[in-house]
Parts: sequence; structure tokens; C-alpha cells
Amino acid sequence: MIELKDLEVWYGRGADRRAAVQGVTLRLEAGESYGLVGESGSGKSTILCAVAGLARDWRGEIRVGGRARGRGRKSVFARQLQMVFQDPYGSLHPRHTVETTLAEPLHIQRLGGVTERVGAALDAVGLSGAFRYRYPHQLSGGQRQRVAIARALILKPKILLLDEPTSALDVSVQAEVLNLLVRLKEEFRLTYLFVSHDLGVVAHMCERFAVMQEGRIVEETEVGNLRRGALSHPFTRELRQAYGGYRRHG
Amino acid sequence: MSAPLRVEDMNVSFEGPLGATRAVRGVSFAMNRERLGIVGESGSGKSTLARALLRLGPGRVDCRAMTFDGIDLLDLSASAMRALRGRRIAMIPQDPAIALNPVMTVGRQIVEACRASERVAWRGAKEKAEALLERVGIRDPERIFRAYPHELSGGMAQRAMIAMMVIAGPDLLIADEPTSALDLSVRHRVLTMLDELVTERGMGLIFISHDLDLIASFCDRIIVMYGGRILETCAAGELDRATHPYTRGLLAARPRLEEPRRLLPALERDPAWLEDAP
Amino acid sequence: MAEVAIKSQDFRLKAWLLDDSPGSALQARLGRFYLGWRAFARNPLAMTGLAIVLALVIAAIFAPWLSEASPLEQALERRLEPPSAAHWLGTDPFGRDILSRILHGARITLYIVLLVTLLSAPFGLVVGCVAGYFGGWVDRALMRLTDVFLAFPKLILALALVAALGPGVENAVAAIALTAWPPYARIARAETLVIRESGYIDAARLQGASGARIIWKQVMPLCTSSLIVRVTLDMAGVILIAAGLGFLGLGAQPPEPEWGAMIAEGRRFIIDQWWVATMPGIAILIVSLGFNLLGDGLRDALDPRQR
Repeated sequence: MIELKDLEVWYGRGADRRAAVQGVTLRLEAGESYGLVGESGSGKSTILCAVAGLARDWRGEIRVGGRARGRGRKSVFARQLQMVFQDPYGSLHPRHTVETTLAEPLHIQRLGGVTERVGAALDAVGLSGAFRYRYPHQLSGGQRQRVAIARALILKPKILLLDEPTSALDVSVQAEVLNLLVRLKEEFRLTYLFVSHDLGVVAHMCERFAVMQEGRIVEETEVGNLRRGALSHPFTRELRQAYGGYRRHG
Repeated sequence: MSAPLRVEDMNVSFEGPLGATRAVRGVSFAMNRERLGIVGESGSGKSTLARALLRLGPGRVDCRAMTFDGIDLLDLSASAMRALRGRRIAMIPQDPAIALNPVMTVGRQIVEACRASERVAWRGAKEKAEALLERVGIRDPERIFRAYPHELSGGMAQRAMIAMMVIAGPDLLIADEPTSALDLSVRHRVLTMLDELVTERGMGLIFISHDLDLIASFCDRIIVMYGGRILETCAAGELDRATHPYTRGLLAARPRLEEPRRLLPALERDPAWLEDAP
Repeated sequence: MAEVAIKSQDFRLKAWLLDDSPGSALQARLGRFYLGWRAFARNPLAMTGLAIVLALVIAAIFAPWLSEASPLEQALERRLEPPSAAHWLGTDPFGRDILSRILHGARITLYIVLLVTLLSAPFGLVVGCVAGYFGGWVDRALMRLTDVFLAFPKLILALALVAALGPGVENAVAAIALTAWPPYARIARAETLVIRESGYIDAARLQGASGARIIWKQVMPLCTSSLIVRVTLDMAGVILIAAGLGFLGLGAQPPEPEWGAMIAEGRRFIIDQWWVATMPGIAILIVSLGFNLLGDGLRDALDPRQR
């Protein structure tokens, strides 16, 4: 579904040029959930941006649904993949009601039946009709993220790119959103590319994952190996060990 | 020479356009020189409580008693309270961006925090500051020392601020999500330093976080807050045996590495948890 | 009984406006507007400003009905009469009623203000949003152009333009508008630079929206509130420049009752017949103050940081 070959993404030009992602090759099958784990600045979100077409400078090959992504943003990819962002407060337009937010992609893609589709999308993410005309400031963090997911799903994409979708949420809300994502994946046969710094969330959501450090993938493995502790790279082992809280010396 | 903090029946309320909201409701607790964890979700009042302990707004604080080391904090004059803040009780706020002065180098801010509490020459204070920066895992303290806050990443700024807050050697440190912007490896160094301050210097630490695992593994005692009230207090090692349905719900809602589950149990909130005790 | 009924109706309206789950887009928008209005109405100075500006509008619309005397008809037998019951603000050197002239002058003032706003604000908004959103060479080109216009002193450029095109209200408006838009472009650009980094802009890009659509639908609505504040605050300056041009004889031409021109006429009599120059001066003062107060109030009410 998604294929990356020798992907390199960088920021800045000339002397300021800084590589954010280097030599990344990975492959996602249809219907799979694939995790990208790493610390801040490791390049995991940059990969998402490149796949989404939001990164400007990159090299290598990105194929989505068998089609190679070119330089520009192409509208055809809009129905193929969508993205959910980390910050539920910054990802909704503050002056748009839920209705406007959800209807906009339909207008852009010139799709009809706006009223029904918006209603169906709200239904799918478990929001009642009462939310339809609310502004973002009238929503809680979890509700905002549900709206963001509904916005991503309204064009019926096959792939969802999830950039730390629950890291700004409370544990109980995170559980609800994760459950929603699991349900939606089964219902719409979605493919997930899931970025998170939280090993627990990745283990819960994904079948396979890659660990990133300084722009490179240092280990790619199955979640089962993570559970068993069968990890090969020292950095992955370090992450695994630091997970779950603080360990006092001695 | 223990320096216990004792709070009795604290209430904090905000006047809003739609009437007053009570952010902290009838909170009482006492602590010694220990690591006290306060855990709760957003809106539980934990940060408001922390600020109210230092008599910092916003909100109107209404408290029956609040003493620290025998000093009545409610009765203290504003200037005496200012003298106490930073020197004896320090606080690491959630957002370093508001706590660091944007037009002063980080080093100067740390040095001044140090010199405000003890008579020490600039050079001595600088050495102390750089040692602290190194201790919180900053590899190049000399460079950070000369940098302005906007030149630092979020994690760097958070660590610089932690150094600034602990350099005066407070008796009580209130840390509000001090490690939220830090990566796991760095987080461990910061926690180790805080841990050492408690065990070696006998500092009291109030550690506020939404992260149950972290609090349970780092602290001695845990207060669980919800909707401005304390629902439950328990020893950190016994969090697994917590009795309140809210705590149990939170524990169950965490995704866990060890056991795969298709869905996570949703937390059912009971309005009765917020009702005032008869 | 009736009062109670009205009160409960009032209450129901308020509850409808503040409903957390609006039933329609209209209700949601009205509720939003009501919250803004409530913040605005709580500020007495802002309300004073609004009252003054409304008074200006009413004076402009109903000038012929508010004053019996003609603003243009001369009657030399009652020239330079002091304020009296017949002529509340006195008469000018041609025996015309000053109150009537000020009321009709409100039309010219409002005309200038509206025209300058309509010409400069949308233009500045578009230039700023486009420059900020696209960045790169588009940004550099548009901002250098803005700098060029910003470098001209407002009044001097207006003088030069009017001197070249000939005196008159329209030319004065053109001259003012030409120097008024650059600050609006700057404000819009600064806001756009922040807005374009938001998640909702990325989301719109992913949905396949064009740059023009993103600017129009997502960026501009967020820039307008700070622009409205700035435009309102600038109106006081526009009124002063217009009056200045009128005073110098380069704006509205006699016998039109323009306030600046009226002051110029009264200048010769300032010692003995003070009211001739003072009354239009007070009108300018009050209206400028009104726009400033209104602008400040709008800033407090529209400030996005408070939402």
C-alpha cells in the first residue's frame, strides 16, 4: 500500500541543509498497521509528512497504492490517504463549525450528498448530531480528535497517517480514541501508518513497527518480539527498558 | 528537622462569565520529606493546587490551614511569601516558555537564582550551575549557559529551568509535569537527579503528572485527583491494589506492552465521585 | 405580568444563543456573535465609541431632516451670528447655519471613511495573505512593493497626488487609500505566517485544496478580526488627513460643507467669532475619538487570545 525506497528528506538549503530522514526503506501491506517509534527529532513525523506530500525537499521513491508520488501535491492522493495530527487544538480551524470542517473536503473534491456524508462521518466516530454546529472551542480534546478523524475519513481514503494522535490526550480519552481507531480500521479496511513515542500504544495498535534514531531506521520488527523482549538493536532495548516508568538504581 | 507541609480543606475557585467554577474542592493532605505524586487527568485541578500552595493565582484560594515547616502560609505577608518562594519552596512549572526570561541568557538566570538564595560569587555560582546542567544530561553546558531561551529546544529549556529551580536548594520542590517534553533517556537522568535531591538532601518533592506508570514507579505516595478533589491516597507500590473505581479505570485504560487486547476498557465516570461528602 | 413574560422570553433567547449544541449553522454563528457582543458591551468606553460612530451615521443619513436650514444657501444679513436658539452653533461668514453644515459635512466624512476602507482594507488583506501564504519570491516581491508605499509620508503623498490630479474628495480618497493599505498587508502577512503552520492548513492541503482556496476559506477569515480593529483605529487618522486636505483647499471644494474646509473658512475670525472654526473642530475631535474608542473596544472583544 505504501512503499518507501531510500527516502531522504531534508530541511533548509545550502549550508543550512539538515537531513531529517536518511535512507529509509519500508513497505506496508494493505490492511496493515505499521508503527514508527522514536524520540523527538528522530524523523518519524517527517516520514509521515513526506508520504502525505507535505514535505518540500525529498529524494528517493514514495509509492502510495502503487502510484509514485511526484514533486507536487496531487489531488488524486486525497482520496487515497489522509492524516490525523498530533495537536487536537491546532488541527481544527477555530472559526469553522464541525459541519464546515467536515463539508470542506467534500466541496474541494466536488462530491455531492454533503449533508448525509457529514452525518455518516459523525456517526462513524461516535459523535451525535448535537455536535454538528459546534465550534472547536466548545469541544473537549477527545471530541476534537474525533472530529479530526471524521475529517480524515470523509473522503473514504484507504490509508490513514496518524501522527501521535493520542499523545495530547488523557489516558482514559486515549483509550476511547484508540478503540475508535481499531473499530474504524476493521469497518473500513484501513491501512495505518502510526507514529508514536509510546511503545505501549504502538504495541496495542500495530503488528509491525520500525524504530528510528537520528533519521534512520535502526530496527524493524514485529510487535510480538517487543513483547517477548527479543530485540536486536541496543537503542530499541533501551527504549523498551525505559518504558513503564522509573527504575531506581540498586 | 522535618519540614512537613500540611494543607487543610483547600478550595480554589475561578470567576467566569458563566459563574464560579471550583477547580480545587476541599483538598487536605500532609507530607514529609518524601516523593508525593499527584496524578490526575486534565481538569483535575492538580496544577491549580500546585500554584495555590505557593499562593499564586489565578483563582481565589480559600483554605482552612496551610503550614510549611511551622510557618503559616496563609498568614504570611506578600513580601515574606516572595522570600519563601524559590528559596525554600520552588516550583517547576509545566511550560518553560513562560518561566524563562526571553531577554536574559539562561546562564545568567540560573546564576541569579542561585545568588538570590546564598551569598556566593558569580564564578562560584556559575560552576554550580554548569555542574547542575551537566547533571540533567546537557552535554554542552557552556553553550547552553550562554544561550537565550528561544535558542533552546523544548526539552533543553525544560531542563535548564529545572536546574534554575533546584540550584537554590529548596526544602520543597513542586514539579508540574517536569518531564513531559523530555525523551525517555533524558527523562531518566532528570528523574535520577530529583531522586537524589530527595534522598541526599532530604528535599520534599511534589511530583505532578498524568502518567500513572511514572508516578507509581518514582514516588513514595500517590494522591489521585479528579474534578478538583482527592479521590484516593495510597502508597506507590500499592497502586495495583487501588480501590477507587476511577483509579482502577485509569489503570485498566492504559495500553500495555505485555498483554494484547483488541479494545481497551472505557472509563465510566460516576457523577457521585464529585458530590460533596455528607 | 407582562414584564415577567418579557424577561422569560429574554432568558429563552439568551439560552438559545448560548446553547452548547446549536441546531443550525445560523444559531451557531449568532451565538458566537452574541458572545462577542457581550464582551464588547461590557466596556463602557467601547459603547461610547459605538454611540458616536452611530451618531455620525445617523447624522449623515438624516442630515436634511435634522436641520431645517440649508447648508449651502447664503444669507449675508445674518452672517457670523453667535450660537443662539435659532442657530444652535451660530452662522458662518456667509450666514449659513453651522449646525446644518456640520450635519451635512458628516456625509462627506463618512463617504471618505467608507471609500478609503473599501479600497485599502481588502487590497491590503489580499496582498498580505498571498505574500504570507506562498512565501519565497512572491513574498519578497509583494513586501518590497509594500515597503515602497510605506516609505511615503501619508499627508505628503496625498498632497502630491491631489496637486497632480486636482483637488476634490475623490482624489483625496485615492491619495489616502494609496498610503493606507501597506500596514494592513503587513498585519495580514504576519498573521498568515502563523496560521499557515497550523494543522488545519496541512489538512486542507491533503484534501487537495488549492492555494487560493486555502487563503480564501481558511486564512482570510482569521486575519479579518485584527484587520477590522486596525482599520477602525486608522479611521481617526483618515478623518484628520481628509480634514487637513480640506483645510488646505485640496479636498472637498467650497461651498461643500467639509469640516476641514469649514475650519479654514473660520480661521480669519478665530478671535472674535470663535465658533466658526471651533464647532467643526469639535466635530472632528469627537468623531476621531469615537473611532478610536470603538477600535479599542473591538480589539478587546475580538482578541483571539481571549477565546
